[in-house]
Amino acid sequence: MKLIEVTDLKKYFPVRKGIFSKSDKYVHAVDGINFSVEEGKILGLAGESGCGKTTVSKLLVRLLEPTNGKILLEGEDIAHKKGKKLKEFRKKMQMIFQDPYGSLNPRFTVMDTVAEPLIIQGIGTPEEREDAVAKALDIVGLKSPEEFLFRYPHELSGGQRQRVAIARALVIEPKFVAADEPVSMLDVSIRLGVMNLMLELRDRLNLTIVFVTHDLACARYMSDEIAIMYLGEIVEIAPTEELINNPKHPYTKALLSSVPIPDPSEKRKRIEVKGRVSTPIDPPHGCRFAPRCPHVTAKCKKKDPHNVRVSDKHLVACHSFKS
Amino acid sequence: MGIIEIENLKIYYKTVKGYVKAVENVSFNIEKGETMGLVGESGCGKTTIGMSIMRLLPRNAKIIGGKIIFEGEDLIKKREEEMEKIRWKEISMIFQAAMNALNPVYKIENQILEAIYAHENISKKEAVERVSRLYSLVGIDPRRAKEYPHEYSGGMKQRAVIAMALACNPKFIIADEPTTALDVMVQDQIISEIKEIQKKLQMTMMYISHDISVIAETCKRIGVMYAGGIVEYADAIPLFKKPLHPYTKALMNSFPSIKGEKKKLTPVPGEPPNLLNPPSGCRFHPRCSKAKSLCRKKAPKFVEYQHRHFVACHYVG
Amino acid sequence: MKIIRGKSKTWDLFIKSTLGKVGLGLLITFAIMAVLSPIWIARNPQIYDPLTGKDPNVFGSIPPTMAHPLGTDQLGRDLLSQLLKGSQIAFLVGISVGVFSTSIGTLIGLISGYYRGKIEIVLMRLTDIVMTLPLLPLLIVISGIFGRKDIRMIVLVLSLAGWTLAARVIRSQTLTLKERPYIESARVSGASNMRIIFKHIAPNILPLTFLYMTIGVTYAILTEAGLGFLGLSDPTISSWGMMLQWCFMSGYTFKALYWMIPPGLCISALALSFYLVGYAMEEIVNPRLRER
Repeated sequence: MKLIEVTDLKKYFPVRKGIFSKSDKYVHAVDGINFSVEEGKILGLAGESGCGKTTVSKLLVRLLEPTNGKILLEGEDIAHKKGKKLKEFRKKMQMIFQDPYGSLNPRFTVMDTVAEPLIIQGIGTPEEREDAVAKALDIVGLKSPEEFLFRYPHELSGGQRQRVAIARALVIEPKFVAADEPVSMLDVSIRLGVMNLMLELRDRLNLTIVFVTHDLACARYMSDEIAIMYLGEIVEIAPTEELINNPKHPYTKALLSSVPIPDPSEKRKRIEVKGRVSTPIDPPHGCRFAPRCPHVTAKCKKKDPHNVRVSDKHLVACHSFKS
Repeated sequence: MGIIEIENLKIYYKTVKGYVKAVENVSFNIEKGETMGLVGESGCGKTTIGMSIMRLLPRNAKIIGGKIIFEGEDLIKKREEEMEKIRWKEISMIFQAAMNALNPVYKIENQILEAIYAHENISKKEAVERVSRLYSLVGIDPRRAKEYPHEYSGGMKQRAVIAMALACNPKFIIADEPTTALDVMVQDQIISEIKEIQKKLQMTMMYISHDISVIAETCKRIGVMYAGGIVEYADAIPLFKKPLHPYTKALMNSFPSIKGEKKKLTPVPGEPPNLLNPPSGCRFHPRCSKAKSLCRKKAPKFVEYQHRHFVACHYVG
Repeated sequence: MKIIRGKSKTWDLFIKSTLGKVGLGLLITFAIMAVLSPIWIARNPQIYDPLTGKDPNVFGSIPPTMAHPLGTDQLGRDLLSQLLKGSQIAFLVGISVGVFSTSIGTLIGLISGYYRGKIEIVLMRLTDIVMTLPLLPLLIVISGIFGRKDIRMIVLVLSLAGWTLAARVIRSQTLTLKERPYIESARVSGASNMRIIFKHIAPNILPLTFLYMTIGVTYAILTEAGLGFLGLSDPTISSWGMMLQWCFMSGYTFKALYWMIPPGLCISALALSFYLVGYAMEEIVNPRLRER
């Protein structure tokens, strides 16, 4: 079953000129993306900084309201829901943030932080909530929760904080979790522990996760499917191993070829790409990657590429690919 | 003989809560023209070692013992005025997040010129020519030297900082996480440029990073650090083929890769120790699956187990 | 590691801070003075009332004696009882202005920082206007309009004029706080604006509020003293500023240091004590500045 399905999702931000003057220019942070995630699966959303991947994750949990498009959660469109109706849906979705130092209120104890979603949603009595918090802490591997309940964030290590953040996300038993670079600020040995925890929780609780990352190796480790974003668009989406071993889009190929490999005896072939990522302020027609693409043709600069089906679940948005 | 030889280096930081034993009995040497990588998690002391070679440690740091021998002379014994002549001219450093350290109100060219004038007595014309040569070397259009930092992208700023480090033709360069804040593609370009420059100029380098893949790609010789000590020091290929120290093995198993088969990785249990009060004996013993009672009691010696392969573990192999 | 219940540590931390201890010590001294005031007067209101009392044996201002430990003013009124009463008034004026003005400033800062847009523009322009109001001419005009000088009116005017700095600083702090991930995290869970403002942002603003409250208190004490000295304060109370003014007006300024020095010293010391306490409080209310 498709738990979350996104169609033609767009988010434009106005470019601010001054206090009084309204701008007519827009940053096309997310510009018409489509994807869906099956229940219990993990979609990796990968790309370089500024590609819009974080905006997508914020749209999915409705921290932002999309400019256009649909977000179906269990078949119901939440793209423009407001107030009480939206609050009802918030029980089903949660978010895990990048910065474990910023995502916990420094004045809240672990208990306050983890119990907050329950309090906001008015679930349970104080005693029931305390039990739920203890259970959530236990699930995320903070054994003997009573030791942690009344600590403040500054008394925890980075790994412990991220576990508390995950416990908070899970305490209301959501169906869907958007994780925005949840391990990129953690140290190596702790990073793996948190990733393994998320995989284990997915299996145990049948969670559906959108895992946003800039690290393709982490995306591969975590995801069932990977979508590659470039300047607000998804250029390629495929099952993980298919995308890693058989990339079709020139950008995906270049991106994969630039990932360093932890083995000095292996030499990788680098694909050099010219120029740098521009800003998506009112971008012209045509493929966004055209100015940097090694295989660019005249058509690429005029016409937006459509998704071409490589195989059943492998889509690529590139003119040079013919199925 | 190495260009730089470090013997039993010991550095503590004084804090309100006591001494942080940041670097404990570290010994290694780097041959001329070699790239040496220092890899370890944050707080393991790798940056402290880099800063101690430059003699730029913060005030509360104290070198308790050991020697840092650069071309036959002990840098620890040098006076500050003598160090000023060595710094930048003989040994220079690309600092962590250095690209944010460019002064936003000066043209980049002037910032590099300033570094040159501080150490060399050359004409303006010569210096400007050198800047444009450096710019070509690091892969930026020399015409852009007259721009301000905000006109550069992150990757270009990092390149400019590398150019600055190379400005006085140093014999030895320390690069502390030079690509950490950059996107993969930019990181890749810069790494390949650093490698090329190193080859071209036959420079000796020490490359500090937490990312074992970056170290694997750039360095011929690798030192693995854990909690203030080097636990293993060897040539890159044998180290990756047959790591001897349990921590090295664990570290290599902590990085997912995009190559090879996808497999489940097991993290090292626990967290790195607090160096205010480090574990007795071998500092890795509380997290080591092979630890025995000896590990708790006695710190292992750092010995050459095989040719050019040093390791600090009681139970090697 | 032990379970540490954060709040119980506050007092220990305060006591550890040297500045906090000095400030608190001074503050307690003035509080004792304020409490002693009615007791001292009650011994014989005819002689010791700070305004209407008069020692029949005294003519003109005299230096300290056994009966009058600080001497008397030119009307034979006891200076110690004026000083003690003055500390009561300083507390009253200082704390009420501090609390009022900081509450206004915090609220305006929070709302304009959180909601942005038109609300922010209106509130911040209002702040600019109030900030540039000339306080002294304003007070002269207002006392002219009302025809008499009333301490309650002074408190009101000082409160209505003194919130602007706090509002500005708290607004900018709110702007950075509301971008913190934990605010987004609360929003993802469905937290209302009110919950976010009062549960998440306000407690993190608290150290600043404390700081500006102490600044507000000192500002009020100093301004009231200044107004008193200029003769613009309430003549029916004996504040420290009024004591200085009486001394000046009766021509004793440099002849009677026993009259001049105590109120001047008290004004400075009380202002200082609030600053010190505020400084120490900031360290404590902010858990990140605490030692681990």
